[in-house]
Amino acid sequence: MQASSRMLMTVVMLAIFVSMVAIAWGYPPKSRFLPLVIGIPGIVLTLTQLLFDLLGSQQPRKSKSKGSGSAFQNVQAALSRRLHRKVDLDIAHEKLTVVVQDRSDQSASQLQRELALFGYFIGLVAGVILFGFWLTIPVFLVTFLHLHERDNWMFIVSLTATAWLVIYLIFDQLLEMALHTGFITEYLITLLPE
Amino acid sequence: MLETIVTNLVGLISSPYLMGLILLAIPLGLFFGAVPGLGGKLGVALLIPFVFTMDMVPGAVFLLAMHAVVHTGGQIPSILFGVPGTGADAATIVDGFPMAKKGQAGRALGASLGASGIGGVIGAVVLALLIPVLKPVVLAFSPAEFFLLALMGITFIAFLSGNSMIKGITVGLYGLMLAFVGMDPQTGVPRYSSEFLFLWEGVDVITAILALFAVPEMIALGVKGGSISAVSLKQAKYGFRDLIEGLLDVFRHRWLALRTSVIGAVIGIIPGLGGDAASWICYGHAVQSSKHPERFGKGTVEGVIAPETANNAKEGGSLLPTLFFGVPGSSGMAILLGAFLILGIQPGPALMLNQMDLVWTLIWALVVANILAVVLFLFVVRWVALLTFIRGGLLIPFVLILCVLGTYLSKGHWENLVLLVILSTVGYALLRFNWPRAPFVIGLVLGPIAEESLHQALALWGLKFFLRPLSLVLIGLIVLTIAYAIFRGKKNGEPQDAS
Repeated sequence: MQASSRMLMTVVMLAIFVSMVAIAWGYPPKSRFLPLVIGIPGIVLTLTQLLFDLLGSQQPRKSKSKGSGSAFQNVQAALSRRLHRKVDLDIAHEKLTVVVQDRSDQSASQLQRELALFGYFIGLVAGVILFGFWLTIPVFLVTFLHLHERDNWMFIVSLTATAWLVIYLIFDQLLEMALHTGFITEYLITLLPE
Repeated sequence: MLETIVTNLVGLISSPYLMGLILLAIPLGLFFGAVPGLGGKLGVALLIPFVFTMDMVPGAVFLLAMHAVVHTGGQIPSILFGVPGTGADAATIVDGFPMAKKGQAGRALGASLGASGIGGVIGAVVLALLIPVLKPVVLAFSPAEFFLLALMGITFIAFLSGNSMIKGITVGLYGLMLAFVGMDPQTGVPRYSSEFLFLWEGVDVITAILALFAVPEMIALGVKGGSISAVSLKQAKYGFRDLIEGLLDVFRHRWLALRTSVIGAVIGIIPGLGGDAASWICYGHAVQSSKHPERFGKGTVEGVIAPETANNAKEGGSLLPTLFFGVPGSSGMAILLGAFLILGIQPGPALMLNQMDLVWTLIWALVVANILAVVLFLFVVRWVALLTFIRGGLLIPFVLILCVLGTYLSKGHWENLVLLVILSTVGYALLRFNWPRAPFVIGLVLGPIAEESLHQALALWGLKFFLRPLSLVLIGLIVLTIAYAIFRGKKNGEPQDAS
């Protein structure tokens, strides 16, 4: 899983370089000169990295440490292979505990958290584009603090109100900066009677 | 000469009005530096209406003092949250943020403050020393040297490549490729931007830096849980003693601080090279000259000192061509130049003959503002460091809002928000799969400078520009840098991570 993800990253980089070089061919000679000078070595390097990724995923990992520590690591690695799961041997004080974590569960939960956080972030950006800063900021803060952090309502409302007020006072009143008002908000404003 | 210098210093510090203006300018400069997307340029632009009715000297002192400490403010979000206030502060993230994660935010802020103060003072000293030999120094640099200086900065990618030089160089080349997005300066052909007008002026550096560093760090913090600092509040070092420890680190690495200050000031003098380049070139120099390059990117104090000294030193340097040639050393200085003209200051060589009093007052204003900013900040900053211990879940939404605000404010294009999402995905993937991110910014910052100056040099001298005396010196330095990187990579043979 990890090796294929690593390779996926290299493949994405390769795709970016190949597309940029391909697009550059369509430009006049002077305009494409540097993109080609930089892009072609980029393709060569990502192909080399891809080769390393492929070779790396086929070879068994060598143990980094030598000496007394490796016996412990060997036992841990052998147990991991046998159980097809990540095994952490936790030798603390006079107690020996074996912590078994399912690697697929672990990566699935990490992916879930990553997607959730990206979801909030994309939601914030989409909200700002469509509804503008002034509406999106409080909605985003309330949603995040309630759904993700499960804070109490009193705390959420007071924190959101303070944050909104500070941003409004600094950017709108003090600096007189025009922040994006949002396409839907703008449209709705035009529908209001004058 | 000496009498003029001393008289102007005494005149400045004994004037409650001028000192009051400097004290007012410092928090404003720190604020404009600390909020992503604002920066010194906007600060000067917004303050021009307030100085319009002022006399020449107080108005210039006020604006210059504000502009001089912008990067001192920019270090706070860079170190604490991995969010750079301005593009030039991005290099501080590479080691400053890992220090905060290790619970050493106090020390990192102390070092950064000390470095900013020393850099600012040395920048002013370099400015003062170079006044007599100014003309030949500035004229020695032509597009040929700009190109080779940018190329030298790009070669530092080799030192910032972490555990895989291939990955580092690939990411650096990716940054360079993105630097070509926009209108080709040579032919006027829009490249990789199609019908998207917002891309015609290129990928916004602030957007790219926030996407590559700040957003991925916040997502990673959310996934990991806990606070930015990996150690508990009880074990962490954020007290006054740690700030002083950080300040003393600057003196422990005094030669590095001196070198990077001088490099920063010289880069500031050269019009067109850009302020962001100074911090990255100096960071690269710190890695290159360190006995322990493997520590960079993991939270080493030299990685904070080098970019911060350069950031503040370049302000002194860039004042030189601005005042004496009317050629702004940076985009911030271009706006400051406009403000000077409004105030009745006529930049040019005549300034050296007729208004040296004003010149020395401005130099001293730079020194005093930098020192006062350090002293003022020293008493406040330890409380700011406590933010790294706040629950991550509480910090993430605010930092994300700050990133979105910074992206929008930097250019005023809503489309940049879409770019922020796309580049943040790339940035998080780089972080997740251990690809270094610092080389990307070097490529993005130095790419346009390299391209534009290459075309200009080719148009002026053809390929013969490589044979100019200063070009040959720079080519020699580039070859030595690459050879040294390869030699040290083989010698150490141990992984580094400068992501």
